[in-house]
Amino acid sequence: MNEFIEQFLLEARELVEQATNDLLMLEQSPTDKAPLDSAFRAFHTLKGSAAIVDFTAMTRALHAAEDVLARVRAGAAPVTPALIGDSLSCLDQVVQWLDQMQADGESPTNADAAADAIVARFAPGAAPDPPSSSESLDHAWVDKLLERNRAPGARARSAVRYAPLADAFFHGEDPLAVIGSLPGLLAIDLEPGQAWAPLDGLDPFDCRLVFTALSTASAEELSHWLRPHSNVAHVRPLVEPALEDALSPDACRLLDAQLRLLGERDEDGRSGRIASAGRVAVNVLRYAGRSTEADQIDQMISSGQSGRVGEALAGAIRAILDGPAIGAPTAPTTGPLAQPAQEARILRVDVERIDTLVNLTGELIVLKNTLGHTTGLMQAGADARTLAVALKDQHARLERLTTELQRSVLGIRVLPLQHVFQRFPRLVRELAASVDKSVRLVTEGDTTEADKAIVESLFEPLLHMVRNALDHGVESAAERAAAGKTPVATIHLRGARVGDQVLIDVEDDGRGIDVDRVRRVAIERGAASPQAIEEMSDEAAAELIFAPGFSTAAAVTDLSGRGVGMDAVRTAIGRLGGQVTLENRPGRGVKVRLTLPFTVMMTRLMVVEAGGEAFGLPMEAVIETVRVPRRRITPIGAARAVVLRGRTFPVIDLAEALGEPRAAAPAGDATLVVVAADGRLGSLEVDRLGERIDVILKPMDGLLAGAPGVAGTTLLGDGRVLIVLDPRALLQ
Amino acid sequence: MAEPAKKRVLVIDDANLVRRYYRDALETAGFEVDEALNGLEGLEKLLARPADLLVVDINMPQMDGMTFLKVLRRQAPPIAATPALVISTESGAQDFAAARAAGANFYLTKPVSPQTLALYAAMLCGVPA
Repeated sequence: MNEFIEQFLLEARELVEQATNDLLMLEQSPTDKAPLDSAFRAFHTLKGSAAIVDFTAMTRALHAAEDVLARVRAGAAPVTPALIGDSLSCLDQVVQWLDQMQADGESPTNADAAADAIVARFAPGAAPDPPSSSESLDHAWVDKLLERNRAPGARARSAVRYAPLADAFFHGEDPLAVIGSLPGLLAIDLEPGQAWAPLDGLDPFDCRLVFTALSTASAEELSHWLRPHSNVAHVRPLVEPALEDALSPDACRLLDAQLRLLGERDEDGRSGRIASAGRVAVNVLRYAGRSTEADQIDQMISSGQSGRVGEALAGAIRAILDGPAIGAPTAPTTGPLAQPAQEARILRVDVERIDTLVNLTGELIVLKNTLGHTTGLMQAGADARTLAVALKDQHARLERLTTELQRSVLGIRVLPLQHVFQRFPRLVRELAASVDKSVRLVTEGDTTEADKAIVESLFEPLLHMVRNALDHGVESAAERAAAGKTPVATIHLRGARVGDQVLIDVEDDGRGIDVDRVRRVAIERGAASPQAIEEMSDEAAAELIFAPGFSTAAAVTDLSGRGVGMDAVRTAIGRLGGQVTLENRPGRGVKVRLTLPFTVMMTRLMVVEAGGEAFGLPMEAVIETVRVPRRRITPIGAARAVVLRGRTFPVIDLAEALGEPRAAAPAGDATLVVVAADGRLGSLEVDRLGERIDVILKPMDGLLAGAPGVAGTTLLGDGRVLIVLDPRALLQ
Repeated sequence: MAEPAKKRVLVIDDANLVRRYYRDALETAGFEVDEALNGLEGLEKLLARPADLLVVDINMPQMDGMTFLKVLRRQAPPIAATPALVISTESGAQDFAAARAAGANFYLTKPVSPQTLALYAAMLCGVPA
């Protein structure tokens, strides 16, 4: 896939997500300018990127949506649910296209029909105020100018139309000089202002020309420049003023690098470094079309004393990077949708975390050198006791370093829950509409961090829980009114970090779980014996919803009741090393809590079968698997061994070693897994080899904690518990 | 109307292929390109004729990139202020930090695509987008 498209896909998805959030927020608070501006910008940027990858259909569709949003921004159209809906479906189409691009590696060619449909949706059926004729005239010259100067037009930020008065020359006005001295001039067009008079009536000293020009300067700058001619000159911005301020990520990166360069303290070459950082800052701003700021910095460098310039420059760059606040400062949102924290985009890692890693690596290298030294001593025949002391000390240091290294590396692997939470507002909106219920979703604690692997696997279980809450928990408006509740139900999605655990609650204020009904259904489906079910406490009975295959939905609805129930949630969370607990408040709602570990370590296992049971072997211990004819396994004393490639390996019958009953000696070839642990080699005879899986290994606890030969347990996808063996113990 | 004067980039790298690759990428993007085989030659060329941007490799014979940068920043202005982009195969954080300490304005790790090189050259030289 070409690099552009790859980058485009990455950015486009982020922008779609951003736009979706903004639109939903806008729907909640239609008068709030901030989400409107932000949605508009997202659509605009998306459109621009689509144009870069030559995806015209997408550009058209987005342009139509952007137009409508622009009208809203201008106060010419209201925010309506239809508008939000249309804009969201436009984004849906975009996502479809992006998926297609991801699969094909190029822009879809069959996208025109879909684009037409979107454009038609946005077409002004109830078109608010068509542009006035003077305005469209106004556009005509810009279009013509851009048409004739395509290449420079792409870089232009403003267009100028300058029609000097006929007697301009007699007022000391030099039209050519005026237009020729415009800052950032890219192209000039000349045209007669009106049809030429017949030659005999033509006054050669009349100025009858109209100049049009394109410039990289901002409209503001040009207007300022043309102030003396404001009656005859018009300036039109070609770029949205709010948008032209945004620096590209690359430009920000460059500016950031200059900040760091300014932070270097070495006196040698300091003034040179400062001067070059200043020059680069000016150039980046020129590149980005922010000539006013570029000039300011330029002046700062040339006028200041070298001692102060560094700091002043750093301050200026920082101010530019922080950026102008666009739109009104956002008030703290008390609304149903909290302002999403910016920048979930790239996995950003704190510089401090990286520095820690760099330091640790440095210490490790030092330690490695000491080990080399110790080996040298050993070769020189040093006394064993001295060596033991040295080695013990080095071992202790190595242990400290590796523990710290592990902790630091795990720290990098964290993501905020927002990553998964942010997909829910939109889903809840749609799910609620599909079952005709009014629900607001409140997300809290979405800055809570958890391991990347966990955050990325949470979506499905959470979706399931939210669906359940919507479908079974939340009542219809009439039912809520009868129960004296607010007509709009609330679902809380809440994250919190407690110690080394992450808690996630999905809580609704619906009708709660009808325990008697759960009992009845559980008996019907034979989840347990009727007597046991009758004797259960209400809490325990409510927990029956986690029983495999349990689903109380009387009718299978579109939302839930697709055959997988809460047992799927429990299994999925169990696989992540977490737990699901339930708090049922009949008549007042349900709270389902996920308790998850903060970090997980994935272990790769090979599943083997022995004595009719499945076991896991850590892949790191597995060297190879071989099938050998049984006659090649020779008894040596009480044990057995096999020769592979000239080496003798002990053969351990896994079933026997684990105390499993062994039927008659099996016939045919033997399947052996060669394992290594603690420097020992051996082979385990198994009945069958299974799949290789990545799991989260839970150490054994309680009574089984000391069980020999067992490293831990893990949950399989089907809910079974897999015992993971410890090859070290087996080989002893 | 006349195009604005082309920006001049001095590529300092001992590998012929690499210089050729940068030259192609930069010339395609509208830059004028000059080449030097090592830091010493780079410095001579720069002092003889100023450049708008230096693209500097780290590992070179005679005078390596780090030494070149340190000497460069000790020169009198405006030569000392010439933006310098280091492009090297070294990708460790300590390499970035070392290049920065020597006076590099930015650091890219090889391989660099023609687009990336052109983009950063345009930003570092102040060619309007």
